[in-house]
Amino acid sequence: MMTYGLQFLGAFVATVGFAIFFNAPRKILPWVGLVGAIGWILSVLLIQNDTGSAWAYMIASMAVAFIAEVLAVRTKNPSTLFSIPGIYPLVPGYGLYQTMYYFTIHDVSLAAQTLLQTLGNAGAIALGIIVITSLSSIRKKWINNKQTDKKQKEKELEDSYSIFE
Amino acid sequence: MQDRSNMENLNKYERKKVLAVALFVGELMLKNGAEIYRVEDTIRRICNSRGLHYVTAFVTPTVIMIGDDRTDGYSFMKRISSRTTNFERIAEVNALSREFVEGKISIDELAKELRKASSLTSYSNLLRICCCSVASAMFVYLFGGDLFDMISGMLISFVAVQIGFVLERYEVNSLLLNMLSSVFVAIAAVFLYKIGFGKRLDMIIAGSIMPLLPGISLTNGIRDFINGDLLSGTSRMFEALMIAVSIAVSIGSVLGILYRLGGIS
Repeated sequence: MMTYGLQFLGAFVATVGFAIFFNAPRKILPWVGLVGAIGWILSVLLIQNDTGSAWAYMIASMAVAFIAEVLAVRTKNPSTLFSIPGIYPLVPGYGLYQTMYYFTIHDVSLAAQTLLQTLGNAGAIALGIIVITSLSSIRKKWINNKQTDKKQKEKELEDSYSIFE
Repeated sequence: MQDRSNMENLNKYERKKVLAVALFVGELMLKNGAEIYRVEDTIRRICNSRGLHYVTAFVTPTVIMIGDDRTDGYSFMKRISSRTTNFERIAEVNALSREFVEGKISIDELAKELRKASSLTSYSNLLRICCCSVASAMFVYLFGGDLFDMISGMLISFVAVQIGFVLERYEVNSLLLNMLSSVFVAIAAVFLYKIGFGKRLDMIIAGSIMPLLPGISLTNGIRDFINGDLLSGTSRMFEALMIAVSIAVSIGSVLGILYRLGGIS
């Protein structure tokens, strides 16, 4: 339990550090730290409970993207302000290093193995963001459709042809 | 032809003014690292709120074009040569344009506030680099390093990011910048490892290269791609791939040379 607390704290500080490096506004710093820490601790817990690493990273990045979207709506800020620093703890920097290390010591089979794993993890992170962002853009369009009524839409369509008149 | 807009209410000068301010907003957002979709959407909303209903914006990471599909329209274009990341300015410009669209501030006030926002900095460069190196130390811890590994990771990333800042001032391109920084990371990490400061070379290097990794290009590239900006999405994702490869190759080649010389056991 202690180690999990320390890991949470470490990820929190690391994410806030990157957020300051990217000039994030002061008000959102604690939220950004929370997003990153939740993503990291989720990936650690999932991997320790025998989830495949790609799955674990995908679920963690989905959590990061989802919390970022919720916070973005709440604080009226762009969601990338939360999701970019929040995703940094998940970026497979260690895998990149290991791949390259095995290539330098000419252990090609291990290198290929870690390369595939690193690429898989990066792809999984990307997929997690894709799923959540697509859902949120559907939600945005739904709200927009509600606001603009049908008549106005028909008129817009008519207007767009009126250039030929 | 029936025109539902109040376009007649704006004279030529005012219309130009709205478009120019919209272009400025777009430029500020793009230069500070917003996604393409957000820039295009903001430009469209600003123009729509003042009665310019037929405006089309086309934005890529290197250029902003605002045009009109009516013959009496104007078109504005701006080439963007350098991009940094400044979330504070994005948030500020976003809030300002939201207020403008809701009609709370006038166009002159918006222009004035934008000029203020374009030079907004609440953290000094030293503080930013310090925070970044603390973050690197934390990553060394998360990967499993001990206290000495953390300290050496912190020192190395402090200097590496500083090198990046200096090179950025001379407009060195991002690939060469990352390569030089990571060459430094590898040499310094091996040096500190050799003199006994830190036990795990892999942890030190992996933690120190975290600030160099292309997290922004990756995230923004994916988001651009989903929103249908295929051109920007592919170029940003390819940029992310190139940066990752250049970091890996430069660290790998330094370590390889040092192996041949018998430096690392």
